[in-house]
Amino acid sequence: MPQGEPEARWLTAALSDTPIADEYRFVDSALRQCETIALVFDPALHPPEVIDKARRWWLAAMRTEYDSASTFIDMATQVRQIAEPLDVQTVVLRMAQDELRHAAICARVIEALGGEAKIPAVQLPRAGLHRDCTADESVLRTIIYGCCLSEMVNVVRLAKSVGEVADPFIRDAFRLLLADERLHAQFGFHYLAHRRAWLEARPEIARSLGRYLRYAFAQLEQVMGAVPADGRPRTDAERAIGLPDLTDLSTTFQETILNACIPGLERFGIEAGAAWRRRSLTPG
Amino acid sequence: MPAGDETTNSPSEVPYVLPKYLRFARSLALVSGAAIGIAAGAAVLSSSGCSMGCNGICGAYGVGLPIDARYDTPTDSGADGSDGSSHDGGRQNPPDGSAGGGPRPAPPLPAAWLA
Repeated sequence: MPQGEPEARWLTAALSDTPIADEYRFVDSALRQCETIALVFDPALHPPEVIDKARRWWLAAMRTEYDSASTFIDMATQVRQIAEPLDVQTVVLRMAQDELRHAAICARVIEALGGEAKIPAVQLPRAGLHRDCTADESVLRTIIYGCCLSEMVNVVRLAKSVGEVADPFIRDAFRLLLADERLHAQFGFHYLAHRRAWLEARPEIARSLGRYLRYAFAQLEQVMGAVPADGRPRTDAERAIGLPDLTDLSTTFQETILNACIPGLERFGIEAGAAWRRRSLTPG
Repeated sequence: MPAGDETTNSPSEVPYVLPKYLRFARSLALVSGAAIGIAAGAAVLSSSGCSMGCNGICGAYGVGLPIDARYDTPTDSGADGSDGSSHDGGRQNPPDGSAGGGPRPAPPLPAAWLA
């Protein structure tokens, strides 16, 4: 490798082969919210081309889960900067760890499907700074967007997948992910409950959050709620192995925002419904 | 439908019975701190969805689709709104919208919003 050229790095499911791995297994077992996958994947249940497609989907999911640990790591730094209680700090760090465990769950599925669980460890996503508001409001934006909105959409899609998938091994994997994601989504509303009195004493912050949500809803809809141009309904075989229905992304996104996120946020005086109706990428 | 249902305040929103996966999500958002605590311990999810705390008070009614015709049709991958400021309502293919979970980092407001 030429000097000065960055080394290509890859993440796999391999552990360190030291006592650190023993501690990792202990932590993994302690934090797991439901029993791990006990079943074995049976490839005879699915056409080979569908297994191949599922393998690629889980590889993309492994990367998404791994990358998203950074969002909670940044969130942990933010809540520490405003000296939030230790339980808040600890659970945010726990959620970062959950995302790493999710990457490991994805890796296990990929290997069961006959693939190699190996993803490029490229530059990780970092949260942008909210320079137009205070540190407290920045934390609220981060938690509302990350937990109350995006993780809630993930909860709905996973819960729907658990009910639709026919393969018992894949269903178990979805179930493991869902058990954590519901905590991640509800953490946002627990945090808002923790800040309720603070918010009630500062109605200007609640108004500012409503204004931020106008942009945040529009931006998140692009990322999580748009149907790809090449999206088409799933085949029965794709549904059976748990592949997503890409034509359903807009529907599940809007259903979640309207039926869970908005009523949940409005409990805290944040005018989320009005923000949704006026969502826009540009002000005005 | 309950008279106090807070989700049906737009003429374009059609009340309907929520499917189970949405009732579950709604319960997480509305029953915060009551039925489903962070320290709830072992979560047992049934094969058809979950059984970890949906206690029926989350409401059987919600908001049905279609709601917004802009977003219920396939997108054109040529749309570029990645910086969030180039146009209003433009869409792009989700880079990971269909591939697994994880929180998304909260985007700062673009410069146009700060004026």
